[in-house]
Amino acid sequence: MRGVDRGAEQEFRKELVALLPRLRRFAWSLTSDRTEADDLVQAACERALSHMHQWKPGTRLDSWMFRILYNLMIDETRRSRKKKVHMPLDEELLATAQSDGTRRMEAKVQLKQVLEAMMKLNPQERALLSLVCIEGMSYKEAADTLGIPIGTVMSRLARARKKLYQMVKGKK
Amino acid sequence: MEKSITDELIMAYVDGELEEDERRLIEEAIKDDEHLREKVRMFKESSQMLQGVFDAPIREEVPQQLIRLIEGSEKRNVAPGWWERLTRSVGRFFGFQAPVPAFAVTAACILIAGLVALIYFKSGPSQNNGTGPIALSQFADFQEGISKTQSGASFLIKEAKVKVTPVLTFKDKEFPYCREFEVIPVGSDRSMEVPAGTGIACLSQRNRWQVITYVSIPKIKKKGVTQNGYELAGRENPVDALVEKRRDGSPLSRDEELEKIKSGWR
Repeated sequence: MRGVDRGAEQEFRKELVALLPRLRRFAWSLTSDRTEADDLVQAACERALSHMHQWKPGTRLDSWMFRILYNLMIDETRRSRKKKVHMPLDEELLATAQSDGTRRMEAKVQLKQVLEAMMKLNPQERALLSLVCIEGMSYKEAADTLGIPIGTVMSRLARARKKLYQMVKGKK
Repeated sequence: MEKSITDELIMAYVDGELEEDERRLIEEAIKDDEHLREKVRMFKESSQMLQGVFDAPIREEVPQQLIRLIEGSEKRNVAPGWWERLTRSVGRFFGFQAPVPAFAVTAACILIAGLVALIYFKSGPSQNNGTGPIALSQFADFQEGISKTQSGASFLIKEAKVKVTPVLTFKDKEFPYCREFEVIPVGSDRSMEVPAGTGIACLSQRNRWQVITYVSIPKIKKKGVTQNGYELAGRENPVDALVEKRRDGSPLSRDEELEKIKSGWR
């Protein structure tokens, strides 16, 4: 890799591997599709590895990767335009998460409802929900990651949360 | 007072983003205002709901090809040819890390083909001769169980030595109702005809449930190869994908499902 010494490169790869579960979760929340999410993570990792020299050690790798992943998703959305709403579920995960049958069924129904509702929001709203509500980022960190002002984060995030809540709870 | 308390401010209170004086202002305001308290609940619940739903990737194992991609042990920029992929697959099947030599691949292919043929001719094709998973619907226990058991609960088909658990009920584009179900073998007899898996049963006009699809658990579809030569990391459960294609509207809630069971699916 250009301009990156071997030790730093190894450290970078190690941190990136450790970040994979969160990247897969972020990608899933953006796409609502496990297969597309993993493909997106793969593309983001390829991009990150080929642009490793652009990452500044000491800064947050998670924010950098989330930004790459989000931008790739936006590019892909612009390219294809017709985004299908397609939501396969992961049986094994639900099986381990919900050993009790009733809870499992309810979790499955809620998962479908939330995934559908997420796909009705725009990509930036989905990303904000994911970064703040799921990843636990502060408004400032989310603003930096997406490159938007903090005031915009607050107004769009509040609107997205209301919309999501109404769509999911409204169905019940 | 309430006019100055915006949704953004309430949300920031819930997310712990306010300074002490602002936080006190909100706490004071929500004390006597049910409407504001409702908003606090809404912002809290929206967060909890998302955390719960998207928790799975944190607990599960990361696909090995993503890790290999980052650790740099996979060939990059060149898509592996079909022969290389075959030798790798055969190697992995027999527990080797590196691609195996050509003669070994040929021998392995002959061995696998022989085994498959032996199993096929011994047991016959599972879906066309009245046995196998699709034949589940021939069992009276299946008809009764799938019609009367709520999602999440299980019933037994003694003859087939399997436990069936409906997991989801939905209105179908072709049939009035369909149910996704899972099958787990019970007992020590491994010669049974129905392997563990997941399927869809639909209610026909003759008021019988017929199994329209069944996939045994290890069969997970893999997608192709990316332009950069990596095998794509994504997986999908084909039964869930089919449910998404078939269902007409949202899946039935627990109450709606119970109502249908009680009314005999009318």
